Amino acid sequence: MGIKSKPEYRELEFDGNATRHVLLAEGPGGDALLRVLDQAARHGRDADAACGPLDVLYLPSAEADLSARLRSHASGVDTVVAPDRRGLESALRRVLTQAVMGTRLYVAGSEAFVWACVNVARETGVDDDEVQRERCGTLARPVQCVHCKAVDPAVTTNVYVCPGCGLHVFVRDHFSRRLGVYQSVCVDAEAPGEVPAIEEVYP
Amino acid sequence: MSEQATVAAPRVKPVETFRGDFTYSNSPEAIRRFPFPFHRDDYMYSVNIEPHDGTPPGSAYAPAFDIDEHYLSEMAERRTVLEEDPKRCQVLPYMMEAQWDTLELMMTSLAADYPEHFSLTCDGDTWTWENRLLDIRDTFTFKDADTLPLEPFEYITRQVQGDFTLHGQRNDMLYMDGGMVTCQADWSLDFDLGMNFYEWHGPVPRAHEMGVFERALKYLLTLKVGSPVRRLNWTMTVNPRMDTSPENYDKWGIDRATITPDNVGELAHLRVELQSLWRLPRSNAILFSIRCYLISMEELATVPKWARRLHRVLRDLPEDLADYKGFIGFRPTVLDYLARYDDGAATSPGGAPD
Repeated sequence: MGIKSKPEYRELEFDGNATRHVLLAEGPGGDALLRVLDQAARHGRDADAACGPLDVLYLPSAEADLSARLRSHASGVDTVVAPDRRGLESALRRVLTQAVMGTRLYVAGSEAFVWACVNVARETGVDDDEVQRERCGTLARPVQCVHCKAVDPAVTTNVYVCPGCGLHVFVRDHFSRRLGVYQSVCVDAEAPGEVPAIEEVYP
Repeated sequence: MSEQATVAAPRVKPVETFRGDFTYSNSPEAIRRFPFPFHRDDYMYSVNIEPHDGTPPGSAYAPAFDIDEHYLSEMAERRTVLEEDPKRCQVLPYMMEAQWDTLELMMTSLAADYPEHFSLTCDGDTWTWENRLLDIRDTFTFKDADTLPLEPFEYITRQVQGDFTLHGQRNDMLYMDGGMVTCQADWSLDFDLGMNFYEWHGPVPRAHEMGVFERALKYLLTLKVGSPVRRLNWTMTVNPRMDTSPENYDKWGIDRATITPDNVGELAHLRVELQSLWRLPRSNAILFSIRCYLISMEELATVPKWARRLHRVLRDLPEDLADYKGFIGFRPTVLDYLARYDDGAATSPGGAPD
């Protein structure tokens, strides 16, 4: 049993009822977009109807760069390959200012990436529940230290040294969608120096 | 709110501390009116909600918002916490209507329950608020935030004991849309802000599986204006420390290791939250009041029934709950202390002293 605030993810699935589709991915998440693009093409053939405009926003990562395959997958799909997270977020803002009723968002990537996109979408009035989310590649967690509020964007271990305050902090399952982070808390407060074995649990 | 002033004019002590030298203590009168949370000799979660209706007269439950001998101390502690960490008070921008609702509810309630200490004069939208305990007198225009020195929610909750949270209601769900949280039992407003009802209760063990939160939410969604409700919650704390926040856990966590058989009576405290819930009239939001009371084992043992009962409750509490409530490490020491007062005699029903 996990904590109720811990987000759930599922495979992206093309939504034939949407009037417009915005597809976002980072690194290995590109595979999930290729799958949705396949489903969209199949839907177009089967339903013999246009599926509404598609936008693809992609951010290559050290883990994977699928930009060539995404670009060549379908003609008529507006594909943006962003140089960095900030570039992708501003491209997303641009797309969403032209969004219409029935727009669907599909996001695939690390948890930090997924929630950064959800939060940009939320600013423009898109409800969390209108965004499909799939976690791909690394299980690294974006984590905020509850003591000094410093965020480490990619924590892979159960316990880490906070880059803000230097405490050994333990990563909880408690998750804030507003901040897009898990919470970490001092692990040896009750017995200073007694730090449990550090293990890679979010590889 | 109550029909008559049920607590005429509580004697208010000079400022005592909830940190450092911990000078806080309860007078015999404060002990007698402590909201002891156990109505039987055992404890399990339940949706133990009852009307917050001004009863029983003279008790801590009777006033809309209980003001007691610790008023000045708690307001001073709140100022200290906010100076160190201003994010302990946050309200999301669309909650301004609920901020005014809160201010109105608290001012009218305090003026009715404690006329010696507080008064409110309304001349149309021009209101004059007087708080003689804190030596405050302000005239302002209702619903014009520029006429107050602080936003309305922060202004008034700096003058009322207890933590407070604001909950917007949308699509049959409640959200954590604001709060003044400086004396909490280990949860972070800054982190939980914006969460839905299930998310912010995420870390609580067992209760989700028992369906407690589903029933509680369903009940709260239908809460009516003018019919507030209340419940009690409890935990154990070392030292009379109000600010047991996760933010400062790295500083207070060590306290748990300081309990010994010699000091347990003085250091171990039962911490009770008298929680009341109010539907606000204009915003349709819910105001959640979490009024915290602390009593040392020594003080508690002056009421024989409470010492007997607390011994039995703590002894029989399941491990995971003792762990969640943060006292699994010093439970044996507390039990040894309380066992001396438990002669095996039967206890009377209800929480009040015999």
